Amino acid sequence: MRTLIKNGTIVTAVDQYTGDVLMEGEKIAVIGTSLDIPAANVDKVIDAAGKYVLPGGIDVHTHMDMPFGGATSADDFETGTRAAAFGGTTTIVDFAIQYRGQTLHQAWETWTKKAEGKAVVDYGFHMIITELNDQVEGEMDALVKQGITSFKLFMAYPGVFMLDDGSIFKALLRTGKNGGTICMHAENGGVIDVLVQRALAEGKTAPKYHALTRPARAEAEATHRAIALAEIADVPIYIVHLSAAEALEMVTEARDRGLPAFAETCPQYLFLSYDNYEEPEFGGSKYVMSPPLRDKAKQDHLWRGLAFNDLQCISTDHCPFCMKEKRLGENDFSKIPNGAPGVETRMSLVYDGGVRPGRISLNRFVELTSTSPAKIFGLFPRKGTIAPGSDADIVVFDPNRTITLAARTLHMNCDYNPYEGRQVTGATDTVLSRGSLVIENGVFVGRKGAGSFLKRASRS
Amino acid sequence: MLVVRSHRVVLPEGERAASVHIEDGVVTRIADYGADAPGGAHLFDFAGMVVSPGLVDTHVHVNEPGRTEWEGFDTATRAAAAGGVTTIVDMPLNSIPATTSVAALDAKMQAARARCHVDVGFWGGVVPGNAGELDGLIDAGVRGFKCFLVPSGVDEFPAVDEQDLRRVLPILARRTVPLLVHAEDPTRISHPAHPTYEAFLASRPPAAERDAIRLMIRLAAEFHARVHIVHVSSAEGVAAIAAARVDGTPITAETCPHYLTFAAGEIPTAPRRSNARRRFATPPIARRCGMD
Repeated sequence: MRTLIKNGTIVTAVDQYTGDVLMEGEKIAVIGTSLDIPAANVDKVIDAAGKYVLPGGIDVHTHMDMPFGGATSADDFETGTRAAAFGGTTTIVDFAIQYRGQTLHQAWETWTKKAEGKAVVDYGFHMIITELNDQVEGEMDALVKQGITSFKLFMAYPGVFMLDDGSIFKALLRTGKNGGTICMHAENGGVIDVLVQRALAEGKTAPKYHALTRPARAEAEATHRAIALAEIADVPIYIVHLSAAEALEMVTEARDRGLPAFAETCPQYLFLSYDNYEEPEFGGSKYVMSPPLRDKAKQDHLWRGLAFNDLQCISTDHCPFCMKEKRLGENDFSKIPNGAPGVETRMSLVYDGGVRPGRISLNRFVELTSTSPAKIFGLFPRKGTIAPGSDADIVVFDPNRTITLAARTLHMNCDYNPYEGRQVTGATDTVLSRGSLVIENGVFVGRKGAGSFLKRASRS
Repeated sequence: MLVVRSHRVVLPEGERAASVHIEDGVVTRIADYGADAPGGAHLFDFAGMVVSPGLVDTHVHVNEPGRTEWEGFDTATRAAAAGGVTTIVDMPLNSIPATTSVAALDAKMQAARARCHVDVGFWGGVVPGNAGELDGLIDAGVRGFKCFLVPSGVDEFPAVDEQDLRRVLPILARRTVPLLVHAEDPTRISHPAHPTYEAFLASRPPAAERDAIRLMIRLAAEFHARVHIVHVSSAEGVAAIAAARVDGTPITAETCPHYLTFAAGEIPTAPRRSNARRRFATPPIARRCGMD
């Protein structure tokens, strides 16, 4: 299969120019200005005049088909990756979970069954470690060799996911030897649990108390602690879904000292805020996620962090639950399943709210949504850029088309959308994954099971 | 057509084996290393050598016309090419006349014609009283302007003060071209007491650079004009610029290899005063503690 994308504006993390891209098989073969290739030698020509030709989006934080608090996230690997593709994302890195008493390989097997034969675009796994012992440490080394090169640990959810500082430190030390990367959910779970119990005892059960019992300082404290432990262990650390300006300060301070501390944020922390929890009739439950949405006034800090590279990635923490599941917590906010849909709306939201008002450049947009995630998580240069030899994961993006975000017209398997009714300018037209069309002019033409497991590289 | 290929082509997003097609001086295609070269193409295979974009040096004093014996377009661009630099941007001073008027730019371009071995751009100069020349210089192609806040070392390129800058910054902001500033505060600089590096260093304290940078940050923010501080030498200067950038001020900066590699305690004192002047770049090389 040879596909030629002509006349588009090719945009990477550093470049922007008018040109043509020729794909052969699964790879990008040639980039040029006015490639004159006889029609007979090309199977498909896509005219991208007036459009951006971007490296496919990489979302390194999704939870497809994930059990949580008595419910299971509503998108499986088929619906979730299809929605990702509709929104211009061609790679996800999802989280396999080691439940206590399990080996890491059992967890990997469970998640492989969820994804294999279903995903429509490529996927990789981080491994969530909830119990660390000598045997698990040995398995970490094995997983790194097998392409699962990052491990997520929790400083929150005591009794379920949380690891103690000693175990966290051991895992960090281990990555110093095996080349893996530790990703941290940084909230002080012990403090939060006390605040939650106190609120419930006082009869405070509405969704907004989810946010009010998870203070920004609890995130900042854990972020600081995570970075300090990594500094002592002399290894890099990646903070997931950073939401609080106070936590960003900790990352910035560390980076100013030259430490390899990295962090991502998510669109919900850039475009939604605490005010959403005040929506009437249990509406606030739609936004129950951890960390919670923060003050609107602090969002500028996150944008500045993105512009100045104190935050390196924008991921989604896509973890949708329908309203029926959210209602499990109707009388107790702590029983509301945590999470919201987002994998499909990331690229348009960040383009509309970041690039158009000039908060970040077009190149930075590509860097935050594709190139940096690829580099940090061992997918670069196979993914994350447009260059000869890279996978032909390409998005044709129309910067001028305006769409209205609505649960009814989006493709995520969720009966509400946090951005319902919001108009955004900048939308995905056509998507290729390893040279094959997945979305063509807004229509799904991909194939269930076409996505492959990505064996990621370790830190060199 | 030219095809350049290597196993180590440095593309914008990393290094890989590739072939680069060049037609009429323009890169027209990037393909796999083994891709067929068109018939008649001249093929250079550099095997394991690094192939990278030509380097760009935006801070070069060519000095022609007027002081060609120091350096001229022929020697400067030849040396640039030998060092991998394919584009230079020439500073407005040291040539006579200095590039502070359209007529002076014409004279310089005349002098450069047919003597350049790599691409050359020009900076204009901002000196007291030449605000009326700036639009014309931009129209004639200068990339932006250079000014000094302290004596430049040549009489025909005098320093500007805040009042001069207030006259020109609105013009530069309107035309969206940068102002490159040699930032040292003249009130904090004295004559060195001895022809030693220690004395030279003492005569130009870090506070001189810091205060001048603070002035430029204030003006850049006020006029929304792009300001670029040339050859920043002190950690204090870098910190002030970094803080201003976080606040959204359109200010950038550069440093030079000599500020990164030499430290003040390591500079030998020149045997004679005349040589000392040549060796001591301004602002002076910092004590090692600021280099990290």
